[in-house]
Amino acid sequence: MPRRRPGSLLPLEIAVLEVALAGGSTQEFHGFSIAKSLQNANGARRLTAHGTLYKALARMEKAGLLTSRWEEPDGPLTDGRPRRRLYLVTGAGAGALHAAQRAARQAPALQPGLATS
Amino acid sequence: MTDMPAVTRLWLHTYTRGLAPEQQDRRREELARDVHEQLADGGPASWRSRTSVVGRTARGAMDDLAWRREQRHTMDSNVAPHGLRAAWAAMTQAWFAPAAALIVGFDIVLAVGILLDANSTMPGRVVGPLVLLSLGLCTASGLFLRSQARWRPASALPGAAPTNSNAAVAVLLVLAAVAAAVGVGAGRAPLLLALLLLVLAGTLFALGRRRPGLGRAGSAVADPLIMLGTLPGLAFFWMVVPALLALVVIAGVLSTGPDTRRPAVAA
Repeated sequence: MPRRRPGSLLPLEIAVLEVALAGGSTQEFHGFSIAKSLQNANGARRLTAHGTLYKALARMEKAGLLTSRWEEPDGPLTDGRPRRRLYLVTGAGAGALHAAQRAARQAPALQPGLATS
Repeated sequence: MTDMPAVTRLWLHTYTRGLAPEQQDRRREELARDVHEQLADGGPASWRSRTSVVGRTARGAMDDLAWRREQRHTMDSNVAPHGLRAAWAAMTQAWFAPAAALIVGFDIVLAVGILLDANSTMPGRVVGPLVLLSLGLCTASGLFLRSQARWRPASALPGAAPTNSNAAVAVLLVLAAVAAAVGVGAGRAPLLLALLLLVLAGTLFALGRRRPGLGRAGSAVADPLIMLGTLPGLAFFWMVVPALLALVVIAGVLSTGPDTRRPAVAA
């Protein structure tokens, strides 16, 4: 795990923000949907590991990049399914992503993936 | 969670065990929904999907443990320490605390000195050490209570067992009983001490019932307790140093509150 500099984003956090904001800034997402979107976006063979994904989401929420809530208990509970935890990118999260993308464009050699996004 | 592979379920319950219920339930339910969706996405009977779920669990195990460590650290930072750490926290809680610890030591040394003095007469040879040890214990208990009052009550943590002042009340009652027993045969001073301790115990009990957990209520009782232990130092004023220490402790208790140097709590 790379050591985080204050204010900087880890690669997984950047990927989560990019995928989440691709659906619009008011679009909520949940754990599996973001894992699936990350897999599709990266063309990866495997889904992001549970521990890696949820630890990152918890860290991002704690940093104010995301907010979360349980979905309303109307549909899923009657079906006997567990509730979804819904996440939403905050203004700070969007700002942090833009800052990271700007930094990547200025140093494309260091982060080629971001430079093209 | 019934459709979750056994390995994933076992691991999930293992690494979330002992965490705050809020965090524990959130992680368990969130992961249950994730697995539910993955199995539904690939077909619930799909061997490949179940293997993929177990693979995701295995690959994220180290991050699960790191997450658990963070949660435990946050819990530990919000709950008062126990055992030797509690003793150390009590001794270092404020600038006057080391002086108060020295006062406790003075009370003990004085008690031992009277006990070993072959020239002293009965019943003073027994009563004196008992009173001194009781006063020293008062100061030690007061330091402990004051130290505990600096922390967020454990009862404030979701699902945590409530901390109350029953232990302190029990200590005070035992001390009062000892002082009263001594006072029956030895005079008024121990009886007055017993009465004072009973009042303190009653106050602490009443405050503890009104608001579980040691907070300012504990501090309100702790301060008089700490100062009680300084009486021998003041009484032996001709020894100078104990009297000065006693004055330092009293000044420290009166000029500071439990929140004046609250320890940093991990966010």
